[in-house]
Amino acid sequence: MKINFLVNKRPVTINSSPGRRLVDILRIDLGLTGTKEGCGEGRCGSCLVLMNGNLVNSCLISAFKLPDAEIVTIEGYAQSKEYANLKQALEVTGAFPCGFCSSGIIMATGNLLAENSSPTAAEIREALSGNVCRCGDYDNIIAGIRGGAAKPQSRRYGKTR
Amino acid sequence: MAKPGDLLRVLRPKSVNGLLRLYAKNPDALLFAGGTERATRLKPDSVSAESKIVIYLGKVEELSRIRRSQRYLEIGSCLPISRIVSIGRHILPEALSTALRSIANPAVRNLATLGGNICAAIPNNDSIAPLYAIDGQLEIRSLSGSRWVPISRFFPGAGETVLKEGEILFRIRIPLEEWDYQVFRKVSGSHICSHPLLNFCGLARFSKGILETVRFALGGLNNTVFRSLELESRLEGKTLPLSEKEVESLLAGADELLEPLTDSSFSAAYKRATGLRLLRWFIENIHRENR
Ligand SMILES: Cc1cc2nc3c(=O)[nH]c(=O)nc-3n(C[C@H](O)[C@H](O)[C@H](O)COP(=O)(O)OP(=O)(O)OC[C@H]3O[C@@H](n4cnc5c(N)ncnc54)[C@H](O)[C@@H]3O)c2cc1C
Ligand code: FES
Ligand code: FES
Repeated sequence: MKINFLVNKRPVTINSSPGRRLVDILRIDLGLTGTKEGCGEGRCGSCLVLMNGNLVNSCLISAFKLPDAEIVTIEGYAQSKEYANLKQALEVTGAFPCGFCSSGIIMATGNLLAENSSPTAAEIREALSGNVCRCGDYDNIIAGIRGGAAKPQSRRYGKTR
Repeated sequence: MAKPGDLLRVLRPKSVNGLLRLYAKNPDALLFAGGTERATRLKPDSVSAESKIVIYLGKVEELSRIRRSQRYLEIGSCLPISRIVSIGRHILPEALSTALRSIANPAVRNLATLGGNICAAIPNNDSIAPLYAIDGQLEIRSLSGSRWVPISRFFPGAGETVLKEGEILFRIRIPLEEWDYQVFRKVSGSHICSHPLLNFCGLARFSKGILETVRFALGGLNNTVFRSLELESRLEGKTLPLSEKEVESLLAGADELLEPLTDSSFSAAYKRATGLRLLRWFIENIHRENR
């Protein structure tokens, strides 16, 4: 089927079978490899994008849902001022040792901050409850999001969630 | 029935009548709401084991409506769970709201619908025990009309619903009663947004230290949800706090009635013990709200 939709504000037309997943369309057809695939079943959050303003797992979106949809990927979000601020804060805490989870976590965080500009640690944990960081760097990620540095004793991997 | 290699055809009706007509014409079609159960089973080019026709419900506006009357909240089957929680804030019974907020994670809740959670026919899905406890009703529609079914009669057997050929779940009716004490708890096997193993919902209403109404439902023991009107009525009219004898007698009664089954992850004995612990925790805590 021929599908017209918007990706990062640009009109896109693709030819796809209706059951293909958005994560594959983004990565393979459109070369937007910032969106990652981890579990492929909605559990890890590596593939998060915005669809019509809502945070969704692109591994769970079939192509037939895409006509007229507006998709924002990490490549689109990275153009925003909010991203620049967040990136700087995350660099301070040195979050994301390997970075595989980072695009999903940043998309989930951007979505949270759009509604709540100064979330508590508990609110951040809840917003990131669908994101798995295999390096277990949750303390530094949360500290970065809160704009502060993580305390040295909490820098051990996998300590808290 | 589709064969491997058959191409997937997707129908996207925009009205309930259009949907019901299409479903009557294609009774083997697969209904697709949020797709969080379905999407991972669709093959890119073919649907090998199931139907080759998918009917997507997400464009049917009537299925995404929510309506409030004095006594009920009526939720369209295709409204995403995150929307129900935000629209229903301060209206939904707290136990049901807690259950819905416990499902999966925020992104999945933006896709998953309440209708899908019910029609997936997995009675330990998290909305089901609270819907049993609050006496939720389901409106089923087909081309030949509409019928209402209490949730307690919706699952006739393992993996089954009472939906007949051409029927869809149209909306879910939530009675808006006042409760003095409401709890929802779930027990999961792993911490990463896994499906629940057991879930429990308890509700109580009391006045001047006397229990007026108590309801509780326990999902996950077997292929249905446990609720016993007989056990509930034993507590009604009792003075709070309940005596140790009253608590133990109720638990003994529940122990006799529970019929847990061993599954691939957990033994029947573990489920029985955990179910009874949840019930004990609920009844022992009722009086704390009554101070
Ligand atoms: C990562 C992850 C974690 C999860 N965690 C939980 C959890 O913690 N608790 C929990 O309860 N569930 C959980 N789930 C399960 C799932 O999200 C829910 O069951 C969801 O509510 C299903 O809704 P849906 O709209 O996605 O259904 P779909 O996948 O679209 O459909 C599910 C089934 O219902 C049928 N159906 C849907 N709507 C209708 C209708 N209106 N009429 C008739 N039939 C219909 C479909 O044909 C299909 O058989 C999880 C899922 C994932 C992917
Ligand atoms: S790849 Fe989509 S949630 Fe894990
Ligand atoms: S930084 Fe490695 S997975 Fe999160």
